[in-house]
Amino acid sequence: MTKIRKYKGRIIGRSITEIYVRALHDTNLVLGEILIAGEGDTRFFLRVVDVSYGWEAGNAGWAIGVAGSMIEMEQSDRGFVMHDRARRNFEIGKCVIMGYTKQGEFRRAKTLPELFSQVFIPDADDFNFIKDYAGDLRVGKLRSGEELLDFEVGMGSGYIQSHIGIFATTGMGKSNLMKRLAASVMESHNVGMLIFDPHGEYYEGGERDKRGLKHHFRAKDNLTVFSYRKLSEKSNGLRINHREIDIEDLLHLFEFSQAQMEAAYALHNCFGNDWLKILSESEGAELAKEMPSSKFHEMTIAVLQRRARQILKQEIFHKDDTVSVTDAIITELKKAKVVLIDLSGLSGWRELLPAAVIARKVFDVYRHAFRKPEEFRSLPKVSIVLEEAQRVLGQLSGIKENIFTRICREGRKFKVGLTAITQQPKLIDEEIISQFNTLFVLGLADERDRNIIRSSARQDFSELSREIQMLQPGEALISSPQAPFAIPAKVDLYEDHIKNQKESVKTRDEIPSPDRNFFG
Amino acid sequence: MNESNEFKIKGLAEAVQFIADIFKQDPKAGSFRDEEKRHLPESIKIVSDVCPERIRSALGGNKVDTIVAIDGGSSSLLASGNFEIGVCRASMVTFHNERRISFEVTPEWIVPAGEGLSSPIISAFCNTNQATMDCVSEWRFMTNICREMLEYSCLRSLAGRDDNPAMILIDGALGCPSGVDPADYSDLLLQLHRKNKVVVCVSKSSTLRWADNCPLLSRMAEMTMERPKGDIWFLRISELRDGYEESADIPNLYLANLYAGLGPILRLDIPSIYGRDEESIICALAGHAEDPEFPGYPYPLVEAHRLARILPARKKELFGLIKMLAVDSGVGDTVFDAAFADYHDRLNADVSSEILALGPIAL
Ligand SMILES: Nc1ncnc2c1ncn2[C@@H]1O[C@H](COP(=O)(O)OP(=O)(O)OP(=O)(O)O)[C@@H](O)[C@H]1O
Ligand SMILES: [Mg+2]
Repeated sequence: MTKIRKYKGRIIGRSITEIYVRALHDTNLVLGEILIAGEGDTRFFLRVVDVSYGWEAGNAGWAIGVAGSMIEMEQSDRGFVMHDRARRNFEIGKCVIMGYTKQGEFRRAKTLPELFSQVFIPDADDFNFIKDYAGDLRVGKLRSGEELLDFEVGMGSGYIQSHIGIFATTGMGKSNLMKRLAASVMESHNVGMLIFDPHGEYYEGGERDKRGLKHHFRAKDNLTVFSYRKLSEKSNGLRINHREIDIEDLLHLFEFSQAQMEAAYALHNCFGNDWLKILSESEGAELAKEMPSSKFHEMTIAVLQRRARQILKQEIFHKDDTVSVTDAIITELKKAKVVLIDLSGLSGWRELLPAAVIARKVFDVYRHAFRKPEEFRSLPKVSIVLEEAQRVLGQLSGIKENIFTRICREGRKFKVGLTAITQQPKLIDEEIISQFNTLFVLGLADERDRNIIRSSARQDFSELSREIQMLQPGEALISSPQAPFAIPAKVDLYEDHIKNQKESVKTRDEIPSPDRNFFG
Repeated sequence: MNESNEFKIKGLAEAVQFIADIFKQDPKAGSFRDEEKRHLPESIKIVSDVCPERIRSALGGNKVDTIVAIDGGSSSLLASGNFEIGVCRASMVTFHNERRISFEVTPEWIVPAGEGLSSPIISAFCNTNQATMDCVSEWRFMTNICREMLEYSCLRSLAGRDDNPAMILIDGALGCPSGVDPADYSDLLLQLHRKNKVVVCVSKSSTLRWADNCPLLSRMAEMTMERPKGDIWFLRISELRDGYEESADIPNLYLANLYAGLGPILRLDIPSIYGRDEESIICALAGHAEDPEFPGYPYPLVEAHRLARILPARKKELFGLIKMLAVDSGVGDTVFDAAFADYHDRLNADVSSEILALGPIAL
């Protein structure tokens, strides 16, 4: 069957790193648009990375002269008539070769398509090869410029332990993408996902017309919510035992002097996990007596004590040893569920401390399980989702690392990954960014944010900077380890996805139960 | 700095004075110089009465939808004292409602010509183009003659066409190319006339001189300075001599500006048989000279010119081709270079933009 493809122009130059295309008359090229060239079973895939004006008259000053004449001619009654404008003024697209397919297999291009080759608009069939890279956690549709192709794309659940970055300027669709990704996790039910939500937008959707995770058709089975505030429906209270707070959890949230840090460790040595409680409840002089071997300035102890009292004053931290939800959280994660921790109403360290404590607990449990291969194999991979991640992944002053940077460096081995959401990737340590194997890049206005991605991403983002700048809300580039190039996508609006799913569920009889053997 | 520079150049002041003297002449006192008239058909004479009052505005006429433009291009490829090899071709472009609907370019003809050289190529050329010429005596002009002949063959192909272009533009002056039988030529123009196709010849320059060497075009520019921008004006500068009748092959000559204030002053040759319609023809022509790329110049001719011209890069290619074939056929490399090599490239290598160009896109 021969298809009639839509013809878009011809290749006019220039090298394997930049291909120029003269567009057909009266045709517009769109930044980010994908074009194909080539005959027979070889198809080159080109991505438009820049669009400029073209004209046949050779000299660069042509347009200046013509515009000057237009301006002058307008001043007479006759005006002007441009002959054959569409043919004489056209667009030139600068493209990069994404690669080529030969007999359905995608490869990197080491040769050029022929000069003057016709280029066409691809159709969904041309992207069959992407099926291998689309992944099982779908987030949206394949996009060519502004056009959507009937082809779902996303990321592989097998890669979530290798960390995910979601980067976008505010309002470009980070939270929507996160909800959509969580929906896929609920649907596929083969990995766990722990989401910390500082804004309270994930559970119910936040605003009036928005939908939250609770509206998802699999929420009943595959979503568990822990909330600090009272949520309208069934959710679990968020209570963390004070004994679970580690010194390390505090180190990057508060500024400690060398002396304070030493004192804190000494207290921990002396009192074990009860150090915070004892510190907050005792008199300074008593404490000094209890630790005869070490000599600490009274002021140092006083500062620590004030901190301890501040922390334990938080409702979320309980002094009752029998109350803790961290075990419950981990149990749910092990069932490959989405666990949502609603921290809305808390801010600064009050929000980050519980997140750090829970994340560390998860990490420790997985780390310990690693030593027991049988048990470890049965654990689903998990991802810990953090909004405003630059707060904990930035250049850390003086402190070597915290639980989140640690997960970035070591978590992969233990099946624990991080999903870092941020508006300002530039504030994240470059070495940390390079650990993120899957990137969802949405619109980024700031050039420095784009540069940091360029220097750390797997795929070559160097030519995509302009496109990233121009992306509309929900438009994304997905760079993942298995895909040979950054896949352009349009993320589904979560609300649309919910609606479509509900409709398709009605027509489906049964939802398949999760396959336990899937967790590997 | 400037001063010392001026002193280094000799003859500058004299040259400027010379030009100033030419332009200082009183328009009313002038008349055409005799030697100019020699280049004109003997059937017409130039009117001596060039005054502002006789310049007319073209105010109305029918729109012409379809227009064909014909132009030729030629260039010398190599020359050596008593012979020369040139190249020429012609092009023909059709516009309909301001859109180019077709174009044709003839093959390139390589034209060898030389003193005492009777070239089989030229004979073949003459046969193809139904022409005869004395290629021995006219060898210095042979490339140009061939180019005119190619233009003529384009024109002839139109007589056979019934798709009725209403107007045919030719770059240059109206006249029978040498080598073509004048009877054939006037026959062709008559046929075109019968098919209601108006031939208008357009020249961007004119050698007509006024009084003592003053270019007529500059005189006209001075006289029309005050006309409103966009005005279409024309002035007929020829009359039929006694004993000649209006005919398709005898032109009336005009000076005209198709877009006053912006456009160039053109010389137009319109067959005298259309004399009474001159205003509406010029008006219709001006309707195709409103493109901002070249205001006041019929745009179809711009494209015909672009298609026909032989660019320097092409010249070089053809030169290389000739040399390669010559060497293949036994002419020594050194011998060839000694006779024909053009060392200008080498001398100008430091300023040559072609050498600096990096690829097809030098935007
Ligand atoms: N995939 C999408 N399709 C259509 N519209 C979208 C999409 N994603 C986001 N939007 C629009 O953009 C708005 C902002 O999206 P969202 O709240 O997800 O952005 P954000 O990047 O999380 O912003 P913030 O930085 O404020 O948290 C949404 O309300 C929606 O109108
Ligand atoms: Mg958000």
